[in-house]
Amino acid sequence: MVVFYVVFGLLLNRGGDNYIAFLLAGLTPWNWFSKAVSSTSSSIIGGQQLMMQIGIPAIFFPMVCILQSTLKQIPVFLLLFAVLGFLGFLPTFHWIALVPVLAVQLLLVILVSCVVAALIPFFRDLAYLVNTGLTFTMFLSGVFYDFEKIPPEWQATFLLNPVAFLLNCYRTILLDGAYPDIEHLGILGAICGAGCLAILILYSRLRYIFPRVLSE
Amino acid sequence: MSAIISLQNVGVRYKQGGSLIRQRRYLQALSSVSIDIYAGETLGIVGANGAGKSTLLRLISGVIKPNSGWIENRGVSVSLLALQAGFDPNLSGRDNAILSGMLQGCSRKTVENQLEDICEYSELGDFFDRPVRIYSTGMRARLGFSIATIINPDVLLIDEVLGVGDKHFREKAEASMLLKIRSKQTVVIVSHSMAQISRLCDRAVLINGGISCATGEPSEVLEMYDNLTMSAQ
Repeated sequence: MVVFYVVFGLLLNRGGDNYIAFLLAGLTPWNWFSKAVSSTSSSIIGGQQLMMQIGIPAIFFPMVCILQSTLKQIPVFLLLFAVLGFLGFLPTFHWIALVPVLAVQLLLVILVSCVVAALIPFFRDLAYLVNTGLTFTMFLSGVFYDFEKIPPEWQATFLLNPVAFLLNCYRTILLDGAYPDIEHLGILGAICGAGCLAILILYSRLRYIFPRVLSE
Repeated sequence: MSAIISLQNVGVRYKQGGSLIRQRRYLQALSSVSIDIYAGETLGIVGANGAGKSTLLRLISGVIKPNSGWIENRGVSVSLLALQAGFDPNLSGRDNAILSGMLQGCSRKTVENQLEDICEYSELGDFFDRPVRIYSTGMRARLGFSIATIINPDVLLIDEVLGVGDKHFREKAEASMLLKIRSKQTVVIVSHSMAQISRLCDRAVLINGGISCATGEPSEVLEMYDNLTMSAQ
């Protein structure tokens, strides 16, 4: 956070006004996403011992990690609201839109984390790529720059990245005091919801495969 | 008497290696195993290292499914005596007992009601309320076994775990296992200790080369196993 502020806000002077608020409003939800995905990625491998001893469904392991990182993020979000208030961004009626944005992000976190966690037992070396992938996503999601500064013809494509879109939603609500693109949010929510359902089915199909793959 | 769990010509193979460039090979852990498990009996499983005994227990407990043959569980709960399942080193022995007991199918209440018994059985004293990470290996094993004494599935699977702790505790552990076995508990036990098998079991199965090659009286099966190891040498 301090590094971003110093490099982009002070040295490159790219931040614009209220760069701290802008950065915080993006970093907080980003950290939730990245910590959940990186901590979940090896959860099934970590649960190998237990899965061998007890016939426990594999979905249990990623879910525990997601729950942990989500609970840890709650005080961080509260702190974000406090700091934003301190910086002059007081709650408006629009903040009610945070509820669906948080819900869609939770679905996205579950979807991405569970997919990564399910892939890693089959392709163990992927574990080394998770953090690289997260860094790549961070750069593509506008955590520390405003997407409106990229060429206009790329902006729509940029927002197809669900993380970039969600971060933009948070900023629209918290900093601009406006509603985000509800239609886009609804479509993303529906896709993530359907994805989560598919993940549930996938995990129940793989129920007896995971213990075998882990011991092979 | 009808079997509560039946295995018919069950085979399990594990994938070995295999990638885009190398051809996939398989390890046939079990090729054809047929066993019936009856209510109330104590069944011993013997076989050399790598004969597939642990794989067999995983099959019976329902952790994996066979590649061939079929396995039928007629509505009984099975659990592998899983010592130290889900232990969190940062939690106290007491919390780990609750956690591990619940993981093995007890309700929270059942475990909590028996916490004092577990504490006493494990002989951990004050250590029971201290984090498990400071325990010695033996203390950990004792706690694990103490938790296991309270779980009561229809069929209990035991994989080489009776050698727990020092001599005194080992005798105590075997005594309580004996108590469980003498009660109507159905037990399947894997052990390399011939003495244990012949002392504890009503029936024994010999697994060799992935095949259940003998079933019957422990003394007869053990004799066959002896002959087999002799001829291998």
